[in-house]
Amino acid sequence: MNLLMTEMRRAMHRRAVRALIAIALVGCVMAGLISYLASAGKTVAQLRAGDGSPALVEHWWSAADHEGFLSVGMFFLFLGGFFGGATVAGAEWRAGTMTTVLTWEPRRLRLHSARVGSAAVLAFAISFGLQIVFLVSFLPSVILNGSSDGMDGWFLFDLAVVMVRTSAITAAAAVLAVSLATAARNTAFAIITLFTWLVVVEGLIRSLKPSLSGWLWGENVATSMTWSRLENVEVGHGPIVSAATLVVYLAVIAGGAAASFHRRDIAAAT
Amino acid sequence: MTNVVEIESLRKSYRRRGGTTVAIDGLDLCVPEGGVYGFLGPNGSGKTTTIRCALGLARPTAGAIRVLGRPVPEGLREAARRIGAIVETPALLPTMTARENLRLLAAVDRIGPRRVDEVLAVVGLSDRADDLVKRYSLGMKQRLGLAGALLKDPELLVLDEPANGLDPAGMREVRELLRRLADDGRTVFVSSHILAEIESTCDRVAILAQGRLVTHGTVADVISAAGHRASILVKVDDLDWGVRALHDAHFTVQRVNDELRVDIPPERSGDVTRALAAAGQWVTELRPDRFSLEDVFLELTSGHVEVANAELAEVGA
Repeated sequence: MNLLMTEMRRAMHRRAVRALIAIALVGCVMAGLISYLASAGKTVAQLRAGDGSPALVEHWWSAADHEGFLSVGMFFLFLGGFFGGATVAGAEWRAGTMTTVLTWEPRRLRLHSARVGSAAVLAFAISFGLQIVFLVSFLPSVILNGSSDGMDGWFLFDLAVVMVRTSAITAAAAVLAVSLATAARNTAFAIITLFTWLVVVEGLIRSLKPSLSGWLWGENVATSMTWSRLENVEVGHGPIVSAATLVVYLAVIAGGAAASFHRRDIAAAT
Repeated sequence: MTNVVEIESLRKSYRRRGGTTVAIDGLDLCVPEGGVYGFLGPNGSGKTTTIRCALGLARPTAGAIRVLGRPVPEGLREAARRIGAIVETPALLPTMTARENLRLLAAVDRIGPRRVDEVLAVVGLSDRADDLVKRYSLGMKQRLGLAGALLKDPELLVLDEPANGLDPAGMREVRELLRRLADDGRTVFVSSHILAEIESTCDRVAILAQGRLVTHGTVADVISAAGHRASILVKVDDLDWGVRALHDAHFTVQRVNDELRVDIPPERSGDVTRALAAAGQWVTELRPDRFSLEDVFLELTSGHVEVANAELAEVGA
């Protein structure tokens, strides 16, 4: 637990992590402001008749449709979790702090587990916190211009479930990033690999072999986030299979990274 | 005497494009408990690689290492609690203060904040403890790294080039600190290429070249094993007059600072005093021109320096 807490404190002191949080907070404030300005002067009926407004709490998330304003931030949280994880793990190699820490804790697997665990816990907590801030930023427009109709116990429960699920996927993104950056000992490698895979490789598979689409990261992340079967995927699974698929992928990559960290020499800082 | 570090037939090679690079080639080394042990060698001779292997940061290709009686890497977990180490430049979080950095390290081993304050005082950083590390000079970072290594109150300190980046005053401070730590009963294993630092601080030394041990022992033994030069150093009141007198007596003489170096075996120094006395010059000091540790180092590694500087011996290229 000591090591986990230490690693979390170290991660929170990384400038990139703080910058990502600051950017997200600014984004939340901007979203709140836009929501307020867009809903100002309109009646609730007009807002309902429109394309949807965060000034109406019922538009934050619809459990029936598996969509709502909360889903706007999901993609950014996934990316943020990935960037944060890659930066934290890559910076340790670049700065040489890995050597310093290993002279204190020579059990590499324990250290790696603490590092992965801390990335997951932090990503989950930050993601959950940011989603709350995101929704709270809409409150002025709800109170002054909109409506809180539909905000009952079930609605809040559904909202909490979505937020937990999104946070879990953000945590998975962070674990993926830490694993890739640990294996390559480099932040850039992790980021380039993810984007090459998601954009190029999965794009090619989707167009050349659509029957495999259901096994791609992109589809499974989207299915797990919305917790609904994707309509436009040739072989789509239900959310449980999607989540399980992601867990398997993640376990393989994290296991490979742990094995690499355990076996390879710790070189000088780059 | 117990050995705190035992290295047996250590070999470390790296596969590179076009062949294998041998960083350490059959190194045997025993570091006895207590005192300051200097680990010398030119750049690329394998000092840091040896330290990395001993601390479990690199895996030996062959050979065995025991640190504080524990095999590495299997027993390193127990040994690590009794080892303080700096490998190359100590890397700390620049956005934290020195105190925060040390507290973070201390938390890993449940070491309390009082010990953090103690080690900050030992390395003379108490006044700057709340400054961000990014504002520290290289010398201050070295001292902070040393403070980190001292946190566990270790029996064995492994320091890789601890005087790097320090000004002369800082070097002296570190030298005195290492001596003090050794006098307290710790073993300080220090690698360095600053010979003056080692000669005046260390009890024992080992000299490494091209991944092989070329000599080891107490500083005095290593120097005396190299023997004497076939020359003596003489002091007289008037050096110019002395040079002339010795030239006239057919000696080869050279002025070195405030002394004269005369190329003659020490056992024939009577010939020199006689020649100087005949010229009316009285000898105020006369001694054999002994090798310094630096001379020994250069002598023993001279054949290897070129290769070592061009990194390591290529095998199978």
